[in-house]
Amino acid sequence: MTSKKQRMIVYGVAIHLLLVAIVCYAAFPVQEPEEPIRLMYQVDAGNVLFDHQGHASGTGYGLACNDCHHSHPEGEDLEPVACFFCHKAKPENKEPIPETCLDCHEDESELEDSEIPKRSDAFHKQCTECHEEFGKGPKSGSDYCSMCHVL
Amino acid sequence: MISQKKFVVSHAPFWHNGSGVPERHFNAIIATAPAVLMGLGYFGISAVAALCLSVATAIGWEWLFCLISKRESTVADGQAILIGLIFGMLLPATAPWWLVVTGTFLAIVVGKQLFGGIGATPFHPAVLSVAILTASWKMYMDIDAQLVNLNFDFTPYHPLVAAKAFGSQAISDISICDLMIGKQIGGIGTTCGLALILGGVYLILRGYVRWQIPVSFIAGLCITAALFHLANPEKYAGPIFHLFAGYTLFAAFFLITDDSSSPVNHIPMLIYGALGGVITMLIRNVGTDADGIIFAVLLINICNPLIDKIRPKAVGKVA
Repeated sequence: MTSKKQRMIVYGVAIHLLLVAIVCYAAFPVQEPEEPIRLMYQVDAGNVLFDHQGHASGTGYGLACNDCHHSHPEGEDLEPVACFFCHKAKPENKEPIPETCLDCHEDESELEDSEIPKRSDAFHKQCTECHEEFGKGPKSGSDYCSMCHVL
Repeated sequence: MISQKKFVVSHAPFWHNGSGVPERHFNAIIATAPAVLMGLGYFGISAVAALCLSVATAIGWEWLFCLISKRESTVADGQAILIGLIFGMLLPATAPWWLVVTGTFLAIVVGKQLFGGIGATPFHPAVLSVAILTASWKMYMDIDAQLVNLNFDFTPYHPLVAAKAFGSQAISDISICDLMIGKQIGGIGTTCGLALILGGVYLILRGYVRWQIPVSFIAGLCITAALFHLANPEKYAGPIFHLFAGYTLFAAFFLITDDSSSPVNHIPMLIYGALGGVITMLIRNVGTDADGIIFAVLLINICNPLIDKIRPKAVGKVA
């Protein structure tokens, strides 16, 4: 059995903790940084945790934005957009913008292909080509899925 | 005819260290303090929010349930605070508010009160809640996925997930010292091995935790991990890594030692703890869950009534 005084103390503690929690959640929400730190790709074949900061920072691999994100002609000062903006998970997922590369690019001649590859194709191509070029990191091929995908 | 009075006793053992129920819980809360402080230091203000909300809402659910069931409020016995604290310590620091509120509801109302309240819970309420949340909202309980927007000055991925998915090579750059001082991705209050040991030793010395359970748990886990490691060192990490990674030490001192879901006899305590360690390693190395502790604790909680039937021989003889 506990006394009324003890219960009042616990209620007081609970109210104070609740106020602290509300203030912390409201005033300090976890913000998505302008440049991602890490990215978790959620896929059926096993999630992939991509260390964006490790690839992009000088203390990591030191890659330039355009090494992975699409480059733009000189003079166009465009910030790289997230891969998901164009590369949807599945081709049947119809999203309003953009449906093809031509929604943004007016000149078809500057494009290899106006069809936007689906996300998995684009990422596999991007990752494996770079890792093969530098001969480091996870190996590519159907025998090595678990080198990136957490199964 | 003279009535023959018999000396009737119930089952042994009887254990009383002189303190009451609130003291037990408040001492457990004190024992978590070093690990909580380390966790708050590493994960920052978002961890403060999740932990405060967890404790506050756990007290709130307890009060509300007692009010609805027209019973005297039991908030002052400290168990709701402890359950809220332990649940919060298991969460990733950036857990959304609704997940915390749902989790404490599951722990207090479903895990504790619906089973009969204090002393009648067959499962650790916080562990049951985490298991339900993991099954229901896997991505929100995924430590790696939840902490992608936080910057750390140590290896920024969960060591057990890396070890399970990619083998020993993937964790070769993680030092045991880092794991011991809490430089690892994990639950808010579960990362600093030294702080957890400090809290656990405090509870053992004060008599609130029987040494048999954590010691046999750690022994069972380390021996099983060592056997796996010896069989295939490239695939399976060593015992020291498993001891300091994930929820291991937190479970050893704060989860499997729960009063109502763990045995009270000596031999059963040793079996219970060792079984927990073995099951944890089997889940980690053979099963699908990277940490395995949550489900291992639930499994040994189920086994507890059966294991605790191994009792000392009763004094006297049958007439």
